[in-house]
Amino acid sequence: MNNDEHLDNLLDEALSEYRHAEPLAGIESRILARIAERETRRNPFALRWAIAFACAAAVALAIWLGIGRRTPHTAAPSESAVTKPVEKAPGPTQAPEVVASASGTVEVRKAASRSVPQLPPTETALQMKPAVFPSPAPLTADERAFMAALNQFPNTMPVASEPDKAITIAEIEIKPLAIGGVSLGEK
Amino acid sequence: MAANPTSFAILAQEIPVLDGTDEFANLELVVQQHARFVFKVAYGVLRNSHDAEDVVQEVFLRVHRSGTRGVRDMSAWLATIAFRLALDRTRKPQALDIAEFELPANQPDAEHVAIHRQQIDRVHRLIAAMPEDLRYPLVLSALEELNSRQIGEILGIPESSVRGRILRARQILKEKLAVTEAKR
Repeated sequence: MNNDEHLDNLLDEALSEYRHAEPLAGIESRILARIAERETRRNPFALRWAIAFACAAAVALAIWLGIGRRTPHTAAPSESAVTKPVEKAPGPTQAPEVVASASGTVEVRKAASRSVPQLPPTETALQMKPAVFPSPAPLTADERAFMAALNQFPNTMPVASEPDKAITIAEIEIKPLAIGGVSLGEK
Repeated sequence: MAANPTSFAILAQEIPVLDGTDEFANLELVVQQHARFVFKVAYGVLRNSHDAEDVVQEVFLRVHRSGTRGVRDMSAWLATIAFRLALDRTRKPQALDIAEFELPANQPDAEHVAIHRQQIDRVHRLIAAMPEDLRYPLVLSALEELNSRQIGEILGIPESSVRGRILRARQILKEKLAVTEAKR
């Protein structure tokens, strides 16, 4: 056997150790056991998330049901006042804008409101008003005494029985301003 | 390097796909078929049984996580994962495997065996001292399960380069061995 062959054999023998390397017996079962163990370790994590999600859902349902119960069912008109968001108080009114036009006349423009259009205060108040206002309450002792007196002597208290009279207001006449005999309204 | 008929047999086999209901059973099959081969790949890089087994376990955990959908060549794919994980480990401090340094005590001629063992260890040291681009093609070529094409896939180089590097690695090793043998 020459030197080159000897070296080849030595090299092949060294490399064969890589080929014949064997793990300890039962490597397959150890691998599968570790995978199974990892799986069981991962599952409680998922379970924890599931429990947290269920709790959050239960809390959300309870809140929703609680709001539903608090809404009065007898007073239908007032329902909107409860469920609708409270209207914002109207902001400070803007002063009308005075603009001098090119023709020399003075125009008074209503200030443009850039805010979201809001319901008039009266309308809002109507929405907020409950069905029976003021809320029914038992009569006080003074009120009971007054009602008894009214029933007993109806003629002595005409104010209570008389209907309201219509108020007439005279027509307002606004004359144009005149300075030095010249009317400002006339052209 | 000549094509290894065993490798083609492995390539021709049906590759189980990990999906659907019987996922764990499929994984078990893959483990049974490839665990030892994956161990050899890891051992080729690490030269340490314990570290190699850790790599094997990590490989199959990754297979379990990612599945094998779309894998055409299971051997090459597993070997690539094992090779890269083993390379990562070579950059970390390794545990010393005492068992690998023990001499077989039941041999008839202990002195002869010891001398031969020294020679083999010298070859291993020379292999370990080689540049990586020559060392890994040579080490992987020692595994019967891998052919040149698969080694090329694992290392990310063309098949022709694999053959060239193996020949060059062997040539360098023989030259260095000849020098050390002559000194003795």
